[in-house]
Amino acid sequence: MNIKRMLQFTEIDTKITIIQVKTLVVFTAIAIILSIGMKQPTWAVIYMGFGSLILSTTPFAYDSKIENGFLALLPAKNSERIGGRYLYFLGMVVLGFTVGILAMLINVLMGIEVTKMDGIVTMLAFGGIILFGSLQMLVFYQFGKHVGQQLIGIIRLVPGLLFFVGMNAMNGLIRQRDPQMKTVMTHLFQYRVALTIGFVIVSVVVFILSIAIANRICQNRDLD
Amino acid sequence: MDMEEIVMEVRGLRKVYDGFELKDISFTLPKGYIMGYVGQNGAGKTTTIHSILGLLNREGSICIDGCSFEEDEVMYKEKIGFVRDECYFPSNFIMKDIVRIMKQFYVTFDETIFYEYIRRWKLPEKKKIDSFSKGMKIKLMLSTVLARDTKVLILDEATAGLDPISRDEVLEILQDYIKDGDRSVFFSTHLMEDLEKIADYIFFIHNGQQVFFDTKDALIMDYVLVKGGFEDAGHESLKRAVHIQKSKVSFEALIKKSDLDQTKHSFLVEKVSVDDVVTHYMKKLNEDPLYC
Repeated sequence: MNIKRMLQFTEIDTKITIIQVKTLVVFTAIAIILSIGMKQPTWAVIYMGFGSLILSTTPFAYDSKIENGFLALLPAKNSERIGGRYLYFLGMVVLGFTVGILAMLINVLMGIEVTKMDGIVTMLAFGGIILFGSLQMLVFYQFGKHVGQQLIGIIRLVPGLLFFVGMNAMNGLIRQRDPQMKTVMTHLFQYRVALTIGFVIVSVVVFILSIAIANRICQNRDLD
Repeated sequence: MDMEEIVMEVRGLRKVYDGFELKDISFTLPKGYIMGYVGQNGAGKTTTIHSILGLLNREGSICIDGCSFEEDEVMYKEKIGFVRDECYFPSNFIMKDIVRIMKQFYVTFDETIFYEYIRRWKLPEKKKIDSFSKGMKIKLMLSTVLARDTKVLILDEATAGLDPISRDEVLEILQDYIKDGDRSVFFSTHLMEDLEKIADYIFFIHNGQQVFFDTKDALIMDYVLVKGGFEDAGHESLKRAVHIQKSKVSFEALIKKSDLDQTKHSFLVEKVSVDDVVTHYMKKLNEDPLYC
């Protein structure tokens, strides 16, 4: 696989979807406002994760039979094209995550406390975005061709919403004052770093597997 | 034929869909020639082309200038230039976006030659593709293809949406393209006048099967049109006609010269055009799908 060609496909996907990419600005503004309003810096990262997951599937929404033909005709392997799309996804994730961190910094500047627990939740959010995103990419590669454009627009929201709700639930669980949960959380908290790193590693492994499976799905598929 | 004289070889091409099958399509296209690929809507023309382009999983072998898709996908795609009836560039792109992609992916893409064509056809460089007319889009696709060093130019109904002057221009370009004797053109079309003007070979496909593949000159030499009064349509000399078209007062029959006994009739016998041959075959096959 030629990384340079993959990046060229990423560039094409970015150019095709540039209007939607620019909506990241709107997500950023909402993330900052939410995190300041809720006085919880991790809201910014979680909300940007939600936005990244939606935006990362934009190329699938723009896929058309005819333009796909052109992309498939470019002298490159289909695996490089798929790799390029995964890099687009990663790019959205890193962009969203970076903005989320910046929003957290704005919180700090505004005097809102950022704790070690916020750091853990942030890392969990990063792992969660990679995990959800890898699985959603697979769903789109497997079923995206058979689904109409309007339905794709609705389906794209689902993983992001699941992530947002799930991460907020986890955030709440970690911080809640219920004595039973607190005992469990206190016990787990001892292993927080290892658990978090483990979760991120698992997410990265799932990401790599997702690329391999997507290639397998597309191997025997007609490209027109 | 020596492999070095062949630009495209298709052997046993087969593709199965629900309700349609491309069956055992085989042909060779020598260097320096133009091949017309004709058939009704749904005959399998685009399926054949998409198979050649490597867009479909199929059976059989396809080689372009000695290279197969399976051996070297990247090199294979470099050798092909493709133009179709609808623009395949992303609609929000402008010229420089396309140039950038072409330069990134195609080793032989020449920006100077590309812009020569763009300026010749006065295509707007700063407008988005979706604002182009159909003719402009086809010229844009042609410009990108002609600015590369390809071995075969494949066109899928590309001249259908053009005005007569533009169409003539494109046909002239296709003839120029093959002048060096090292490249060939493969084009599918419904426009028989295009075939008459420039095609050297004609491949007729119907319902996924080859009906005939021959040089245009041989087709025109081998067949004649026989015309006469309606009452003579069943004449014994027309027993082996490919197809007899009857009207209220007359008939017109397509028949091979070798099947027509000139001594047994006094009908009017005329030279055929490619359109005559193809149309009669199409009508015959629609009436009798098992004819071939």
